[in-house]
Amino acid sequence: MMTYADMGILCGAALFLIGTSGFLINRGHFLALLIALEIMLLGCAVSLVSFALENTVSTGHIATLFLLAVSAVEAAVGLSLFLIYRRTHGNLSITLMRKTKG
Amino acid sequence: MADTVLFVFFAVMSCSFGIMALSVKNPVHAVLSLLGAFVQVAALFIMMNASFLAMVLLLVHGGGLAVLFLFMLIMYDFKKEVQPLVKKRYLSFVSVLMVTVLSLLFHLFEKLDFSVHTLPAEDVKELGRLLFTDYLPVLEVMGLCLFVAMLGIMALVLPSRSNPPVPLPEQRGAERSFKTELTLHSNPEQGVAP
Repeated sequence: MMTYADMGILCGAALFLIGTSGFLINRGHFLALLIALEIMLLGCAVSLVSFALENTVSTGHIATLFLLAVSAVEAAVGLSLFLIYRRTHGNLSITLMRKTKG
Repeated sequence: MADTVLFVFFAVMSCSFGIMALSVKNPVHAVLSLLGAFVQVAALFIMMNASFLAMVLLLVHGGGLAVLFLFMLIMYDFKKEVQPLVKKRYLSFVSVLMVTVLSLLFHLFEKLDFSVHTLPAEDVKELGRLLFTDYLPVLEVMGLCLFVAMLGIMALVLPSRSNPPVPLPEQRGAERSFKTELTLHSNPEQGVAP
């Protein structure tokens, strides 16, 4: 019999996998990268809460709180980079980003 | 039993919203799907005895972050740049990979037998006490991180002498036509209609 914690860990792993695969095979828009990162961090948060439930400690909840703060910061910085890129290049296509390719 | 069904429902819904957020064509729909995933995960948190975290997730991510994304999309006209976020030909490969990994994980969890635990007291009081006693240095570092991020964003986005705002192509076109109109008006010979 699977408990909530087990199912939560599975759900977190699935969300993380979805985010990772979306991040790796993304060939379209810059925004999709940010969304994939958000989904990955959401999966991490679900896993942490499940671990906290499994081990009956509150440390996981505190770690999740910090994780949520970090993910909010990451999204805000990513969106500002998004603005800058759009301002300097005029588009946001991933396939046209060849400036740092060498 | 009903609880388990509800839990599985929320878990499946959150995963499907995640897949939808990365596979729909329109960026606005992608952001709305992300918002749906946030809401489903908040429901999962409530079922896992973490109601405070669920509220934080809904307020900060659902209320703040998703709306920030939407504002960014509203500020710019993305109609010309709309394209599929993920190419279709990769989808089959990725879905096979994901099913394999998840079934492996499922087998692993079926082998193990965990006894049912519940947190003794998941309340805000205990969380706050821990946050302001044992984890105070971490909390302060987190505050510093938020502050530095705020400063960094302002330094990046504010137009300065070294980083002047570049007009968008459509604005450039508008400017040009305005200038030609001005020159037409200043030269009466050119402005005369044949």
